[in-house]
Amino acid sequence: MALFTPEGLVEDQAIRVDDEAPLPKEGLVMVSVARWFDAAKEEPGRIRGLVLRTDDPVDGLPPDLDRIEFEVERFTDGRVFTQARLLRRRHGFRGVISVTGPFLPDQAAHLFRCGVDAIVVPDDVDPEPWARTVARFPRYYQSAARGVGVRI
Amino acid sequence: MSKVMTAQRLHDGIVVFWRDGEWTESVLDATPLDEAAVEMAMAEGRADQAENLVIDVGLIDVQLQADKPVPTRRRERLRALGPSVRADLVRAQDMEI
Amino acid sequence: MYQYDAIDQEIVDARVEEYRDQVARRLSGALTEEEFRPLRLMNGLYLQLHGYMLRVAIPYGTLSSRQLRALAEISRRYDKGYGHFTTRQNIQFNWPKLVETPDLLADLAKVEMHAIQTSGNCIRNVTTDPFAGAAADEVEDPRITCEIIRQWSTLHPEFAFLPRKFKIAVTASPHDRAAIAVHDIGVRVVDDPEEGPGFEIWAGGGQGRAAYLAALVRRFLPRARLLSYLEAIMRVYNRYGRRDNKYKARIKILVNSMGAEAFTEEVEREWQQILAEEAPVDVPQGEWDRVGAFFDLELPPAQEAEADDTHPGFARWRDVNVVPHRRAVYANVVISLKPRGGIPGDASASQMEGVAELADRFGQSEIRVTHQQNLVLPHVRRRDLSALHRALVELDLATANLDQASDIIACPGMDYCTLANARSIPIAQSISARFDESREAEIGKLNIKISGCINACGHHHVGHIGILGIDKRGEESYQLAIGGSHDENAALAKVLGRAISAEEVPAAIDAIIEVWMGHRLEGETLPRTVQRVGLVPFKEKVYGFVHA
Repeated sequence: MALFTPEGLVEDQAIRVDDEAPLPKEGLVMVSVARWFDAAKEEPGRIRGLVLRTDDPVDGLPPDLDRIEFEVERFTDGRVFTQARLLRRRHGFRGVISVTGPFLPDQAAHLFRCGVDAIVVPDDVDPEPWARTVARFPRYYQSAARGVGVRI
Repeated sequence: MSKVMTAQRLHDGIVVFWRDGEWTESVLDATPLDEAAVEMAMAEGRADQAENLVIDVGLIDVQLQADKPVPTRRRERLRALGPSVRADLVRAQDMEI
Repeated sequence: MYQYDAIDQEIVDARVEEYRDQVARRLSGALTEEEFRPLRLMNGLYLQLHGYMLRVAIPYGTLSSRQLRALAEISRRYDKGYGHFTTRQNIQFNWPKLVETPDLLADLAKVEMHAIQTSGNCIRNVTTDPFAGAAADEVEDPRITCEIIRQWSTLHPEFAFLPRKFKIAVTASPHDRAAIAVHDIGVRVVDDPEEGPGFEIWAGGGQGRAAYLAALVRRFLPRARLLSYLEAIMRVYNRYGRRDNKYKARIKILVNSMGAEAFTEEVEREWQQILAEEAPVDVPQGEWDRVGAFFDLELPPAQEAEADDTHPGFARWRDVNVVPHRRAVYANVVISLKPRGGIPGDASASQMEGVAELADRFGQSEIRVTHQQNLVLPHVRRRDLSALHRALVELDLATANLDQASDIIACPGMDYCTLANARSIPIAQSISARFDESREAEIGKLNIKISGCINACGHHHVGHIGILGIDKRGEESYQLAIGGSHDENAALAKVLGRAISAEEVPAAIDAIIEVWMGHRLEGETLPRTVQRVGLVPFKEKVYGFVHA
């Protein structure tokens, strides 16, 4: 998979590990919240990212992770916008926030404005429609986690 | 009871009915389908949907009146005819709501 | 009224191009219908019974004469020469072609209009008092607050995919003409003697399946904190509103399942956290002032004399359709879109152009759309009323029936709508055709509201008489309810009994009116009479009459 970011397409280096599978020795290892809670038993230092669902709370997460990813089943599940916004602005998370799910290019600008850094897309994606929607609006009314509004 | 296959054209939304391999705007011109014909027609309808020519392909019940298919449900009659409150916009004058 | 600056125009123009791109991708197959549907809905485009339907936003119901002319022109060019004014102060076109909608929107953008967020699970067009800025009893023009909310909610990144649609209404008068009790959020502008300018905030009202009146969540919110507080409510809803069942996804269900108190606590907690953050969303006073200046209308001086007119129909029309203005030499004129026996809310292109012309001649080039599906010419000199009435007669728009039995709210129903279970318009026609001016003068104010399904677009829950179309074993049937009200005494109508056929409706309405007139005390509205005497006498008469 690849990542669509405000700067364009980049390679996705994440290694998502199922709850039952062994942890790899190296790499950007990402696990579920459930597994992370058990991680103390199994070399916690090796886990560098978490995969959250849209009904997971975003407070009380370890601050020093490299990446937090939200897994979204339906592109109409708008909770992820609030989750990203809170994680970035309220909880001050400094790592990469990514999302994975059946998102449309038309949602990219809103996701980025809410603090998402990267959208997981297929390797063979045509980045053009995605780039077009991100560049579409030169300005917005309201300030957001990324970008300052013209009025609010 | 016979059926007629119907859809809406993607590019303008107009309600259309299946007549032997093409779409027509008048339900009275549609081909009534028996059970055997339904499956073949629906396969063609779904193919047109996949080609983005039409949307919401489906079947409606009709009764034959003077050999012409007339939808049995009122909602489908309204859909085939146009709004009952605008006589000037009704599509098939000889059919009753 | 508000006028776009370069920023507003740039945003609307960009939205047109974004939508044009989306339509092109749909036509090419790059987007499936399932993917396209939420995108087109967020731009007001539905697929209805006969074709696409485009809902154009009329922000807080205010139009300039130039905009109304543009709507007329659009209805000719892209539609069939008419439009339908809705209970949310918008206008709908019933016949646009998908391929032409981007051009239609580009034409709208030329007159500072759009269809942004007129549908979809997002914050919809904010509605208000149709007499805003012209009412005698308002604290300030509620459209200032509406415009601030419009800008804040337009393309808000966090709240574009809510559990369900979200409607905000604002009123600034003690007499609520914006029905704030039946909105997701109701805002009442207040000027508190101790706290200063601010708002009362209500939440969780709504009609549709399971109707609720809103709960008061904050008695006083300082003006400066409006948006942060709205954002707190939206965020609680976006996180905790149900997404597993679309019929339980509105905020009213969340408020009522949590309980108003617990909901309020959650909102207050979220709000405190927002305020503690760096740069909480809120509008600086300068922006309130900038927007406010647009609504600061200076009316030209007017003579006091009111022309005496013996023109047929004038006196009744003046008594019924003319509403007091904040200045005694002026008046607000309601132009009824409810001809007796006609289609509620429809206007032809030439009627729209005619009204635009009259707004230029007799008003301040401004028109309002009411949630009762009528138009208003605000700021008319009283001495011009008779000339205006004559001109309205020429346009077939002089029906004198504001708030009378024939001033019926009706959704498009099964004649146009895919959701409807029964037709609404023919019922409205069959009822309104039975009332003339002299009968209405005897009856007095009466609101009849008709919806073709439980989604309640015709506001039947808050009608003095509410009529709900249902499908009873394949037949169009109508359930009657009485005693509802949408104003500051908001109440939900109570169901009278079993549903009846379309043919039986007019006689049943007559029966209800007869019982009410027989029991009512001086000046008593139907809801008050129902509260006092109960449903029984009405039931006896209606069902006795229907099954004689």
